[in-house]
Amino acid sequence: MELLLVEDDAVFGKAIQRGLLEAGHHCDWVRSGENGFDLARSHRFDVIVLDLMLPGMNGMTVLKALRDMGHRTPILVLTALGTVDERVAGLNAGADDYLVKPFAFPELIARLDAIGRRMQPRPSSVNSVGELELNLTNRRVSRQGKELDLTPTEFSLLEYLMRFAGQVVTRKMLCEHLWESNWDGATNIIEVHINRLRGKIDKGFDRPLIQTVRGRGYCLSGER
Amino acid sequence: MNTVWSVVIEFARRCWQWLFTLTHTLRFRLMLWNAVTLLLTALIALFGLKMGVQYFLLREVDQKLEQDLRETNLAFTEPFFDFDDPSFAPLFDQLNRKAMGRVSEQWYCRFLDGELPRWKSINTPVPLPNLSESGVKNYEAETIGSFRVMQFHKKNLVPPLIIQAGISLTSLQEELDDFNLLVLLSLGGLLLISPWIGYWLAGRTTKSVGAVIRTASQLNPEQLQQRLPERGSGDELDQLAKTVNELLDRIAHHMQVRRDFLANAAHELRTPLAAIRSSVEVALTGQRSAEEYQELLGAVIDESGALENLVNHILLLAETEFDAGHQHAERIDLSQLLHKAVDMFGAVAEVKTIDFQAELSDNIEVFGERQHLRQVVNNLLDNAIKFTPEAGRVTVRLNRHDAERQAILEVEDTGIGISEKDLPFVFDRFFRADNARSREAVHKGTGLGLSICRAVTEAHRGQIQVRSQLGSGTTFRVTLPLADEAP
Repeated sequence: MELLLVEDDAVFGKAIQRGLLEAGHHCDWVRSGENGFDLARSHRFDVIVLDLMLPGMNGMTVLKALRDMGHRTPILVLTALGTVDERVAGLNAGADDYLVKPFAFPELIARLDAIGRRMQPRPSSVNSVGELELNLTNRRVSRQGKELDLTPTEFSLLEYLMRFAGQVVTRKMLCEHLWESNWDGATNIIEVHINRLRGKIDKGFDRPLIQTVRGRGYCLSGER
Repeated sequence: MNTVWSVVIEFARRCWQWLFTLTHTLRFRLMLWNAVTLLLTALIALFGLKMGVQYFLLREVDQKLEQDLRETNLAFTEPFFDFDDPSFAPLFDQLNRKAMGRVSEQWYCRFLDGELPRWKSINTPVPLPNLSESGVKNYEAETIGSFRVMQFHKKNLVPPLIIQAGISLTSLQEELDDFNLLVLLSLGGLLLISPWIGYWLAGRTTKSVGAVIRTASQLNPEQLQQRLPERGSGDELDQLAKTVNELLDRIAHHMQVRRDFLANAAHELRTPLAAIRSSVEVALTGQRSAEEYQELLGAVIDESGALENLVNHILLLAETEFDAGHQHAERIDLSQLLHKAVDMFGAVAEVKTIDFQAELSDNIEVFGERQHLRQVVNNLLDNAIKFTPEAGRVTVRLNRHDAERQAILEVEDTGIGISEKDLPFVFDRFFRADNARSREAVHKGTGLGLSICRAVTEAHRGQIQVRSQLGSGTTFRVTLPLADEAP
């Protein structure tokens, strides 16, 4: 995807740009609201990643100015202020998504993908990763043709992992998706649920499909 | 010339300012009241006194006149009156002598036949005061002109005579004038003195208000140990001082809690920061293998997570405290919220072989902030599972109390319990029960979980209570007001 990153912090901006480039996206990085605004008008981007706290023309102003002009490029807003008020204000001003700093990098990738995917037609009702198949219509899951009996929670978990197959999905993303809950306690609830899912889809098969990525989350991958 | 004017104007402005400040004080207003009251009282008293004096002086005059008339009346021994009859000479002499003797009073006496003067004593003033127009009433004094006059109608005499006696009121008026002057002087004196007395009295009354102001002006958030003097007199100002002191106690306590919280928060932030710093420092010194780098950076990510959690919890506490107005409150199906939480924690309980029971009534709705209430439920369930040993039991109940219109959530465990000593502090920020289990890594938390529960519950006008017995279990009970019936 063609991305525009508007972020004033040098260290953070550089890290994000490098991460996005490594994830296979093209990313232009500017460090002020004015430059971001000009570039957004003169070039076509798939998604704009916009920090709210910028010197000079701040992010909210840029966002409003672009939307007032009828500019329709999806915008993902980044901010250190995570209050509900802030979030509501950002979304009302025309942001497509919202991410509070600090965030896990995979979450940014996943959200950008989600925004990109929203532009595309709906995926088919049957998904597969390697030899694992998931049917969204009859809610059945099978591996190597062998039917697996999953609870509703396990099914949702697998479906979400499958949506981001090959990418890292963070615990926070899973928690929010499954229970709309932002659990950040010390108890690793997601790990317990992942282990139960593993017990059903990986146990008895020679190759595990769910990988743990230390400190980041989990990844469902059919590749070796 | 201009400078002179500017000095004058400046002086006038200063005076006006001073007057303005002075007249807008409570003391000044009390002084005015006091002075006005004092003056009015004095005015009424002096006026009464003046009237009294006037009355008594006139009565004295009247008594004299009446006595004179009665004496004259008795002097008529004959049943007729004839000016030329020598037998009347002694009477005339006697009356003239009296007039001579009382010349200072301008005393006189005269006889009239109808309107016709028949005889008058010497020293009778000219012109004479007229006769009363309302006719002659015996022994009734009247003020005619500057004279006090009394008459007697001697009808059985031939011809019938009107005997009139009078005394000039000039000297009496002079005495009264002297008295009035005295009254005026006293009033003037009072007028001068009363503001000062009023000011002094007002000062006595407002003295404790001044003490309140002085003490209050010395207060600042760092110096809250100052207290207002309480005199124990029990009057309104004493009550005010007491109320202010109680308020100060509460503020001081609040500030102390704040300070402790800040210090604790900084301390708690240090631990993950130190871990991050040392991991990075180790990574930067010397060449390491890719696995070692992975290991060290993994530690950095883990500790960043801990740091993030702590910051999130602190922010959540702040948000709960400052957004008590519930700007984003909505109707929440607590039953559904709990079903999700039970699904979320059920797997964890299963792994620990804990018997996890959920007894949830349906359709229990409250009004509030979804994320905050979730946090309460999650924290309570997490704690219960965390502190319950394997093969223990955790029960979560959700019921409604219709009479009190409350939702009641209970989380009961058969865990390690909380000692009686620790129980009052479990909701305090960063409080962790000091026992071996809570120090185990698996129980590591931010230490803010239960204070968040309390803050959120109270922000929702609810209550949270805890019951516990060391070794046999703990029960947390949250009550929240039910949302009004759907319209």
